[in-house]
Amino acid sequence: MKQYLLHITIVFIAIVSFSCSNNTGSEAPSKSIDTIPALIMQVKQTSRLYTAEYNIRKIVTHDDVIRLKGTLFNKDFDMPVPIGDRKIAIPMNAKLKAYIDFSEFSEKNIERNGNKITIILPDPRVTLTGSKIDQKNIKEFVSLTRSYFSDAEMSDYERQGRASIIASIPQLGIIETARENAARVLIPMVEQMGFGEKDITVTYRKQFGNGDINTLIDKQNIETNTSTATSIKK
Amino acid sequence: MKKTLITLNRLRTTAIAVAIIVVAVMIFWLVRVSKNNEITITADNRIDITPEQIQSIKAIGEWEFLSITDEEMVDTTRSRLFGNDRLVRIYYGTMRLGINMHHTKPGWIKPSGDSVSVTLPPVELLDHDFIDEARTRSFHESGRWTAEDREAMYRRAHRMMKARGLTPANINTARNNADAQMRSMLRAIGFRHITIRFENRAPLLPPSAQHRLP
Repeated sequence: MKQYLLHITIVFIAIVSFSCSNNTGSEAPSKSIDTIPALIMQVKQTSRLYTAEYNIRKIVTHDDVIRLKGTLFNKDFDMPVPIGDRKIAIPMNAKLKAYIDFSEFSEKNIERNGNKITIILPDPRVTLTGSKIDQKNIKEFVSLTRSYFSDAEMSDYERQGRASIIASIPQLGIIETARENAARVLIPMVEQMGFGEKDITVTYRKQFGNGDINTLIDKQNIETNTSTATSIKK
Repeated sequence: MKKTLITLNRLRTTAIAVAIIVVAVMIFWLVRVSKNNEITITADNRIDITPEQIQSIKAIGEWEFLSITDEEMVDTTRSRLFGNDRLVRIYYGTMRLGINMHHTKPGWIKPSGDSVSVTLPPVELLDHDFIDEARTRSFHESGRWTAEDREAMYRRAHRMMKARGLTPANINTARNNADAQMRSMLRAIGFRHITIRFENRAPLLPPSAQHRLP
């Protein structure tokens, strides 16, 4: 009798649960609702001439090996634990742009000698203007014994990939391209003001070495509250 | 016989004493070397070294006069038999408003002595790929989410940022700043009387931007 009552109770709970559920299928997506407004919005007046754009692609990979580390009887050991593999490959694209900041541009940057004009431009700078994760081509390989990669873990790898792209800026040659392209934008403009092409000179403050280029990367690209910027495997 | 028994007894006592001492020494040694014993299970969270590949290099002429940095928290929910799944992510992006110098028309600068008349293209959103998705932070996750779900959230963040940033007030601020900056530059070159106007037409959209528009 007791067992009979128990069965009836279970069936009743199941029916009630089904009838209370809004969806016909458990995986059917419900309508998304925006419940949280914007966090921060910062508006800034600028005067920047972007002259070079580099599209960079990177495949971020991570092999998630669980390791047993420690000290036993004064002997250090470090060995992989054979509980299954977990790997991920995240393709991503980033857009780098180089610009000349004209916000401090004044008479000091112009030298005129009769019909000749020399424009002394400020140092070009580089910034990462956007990045896109190729979500549809992310590949995950997870053993049965391991859990799937969480959204937080994937975001962490993506931030490390971003930091790695920023770290590669000095090797890309974007500063030189930016300088040449700035002249290509400015010379026709000054020509239209009535100067002959041969009379226009666009020059820069100085020549840069690789060490200088690091100082020309926008600081806003480098996150202050993350440890990932320097945590790429050596 | 008695002597032999006594000797055997002594030997046995000695053997037991030696065994006790050996065991004590071993225990002492084990305790001593086990003091620093430590075992941890760790996972290396660093990414592997992979190359960065330049896909394209483009000469551009985008003059930015206003930048709007925005953060948007986007959440999505899915009802299940027992409870709901939820994913909350914070997206970061910077919209750049200004003029595209490649969209200027021939004769856009007309000098006449110390006077100059400039006709600038309309102020527009310079780049429609303004979200820095690699900076996205995962705030909360329950359940398993697919690439399509994340893609849909990205598109929502894109729409939300545009709605918040591309306001008539911001476009007007960018236009005023463009006027002021251009005037300052022309004055530095030597012009005294400067007239600046903007073309009265819809900004040209790059092909990549058109499919993104809601």
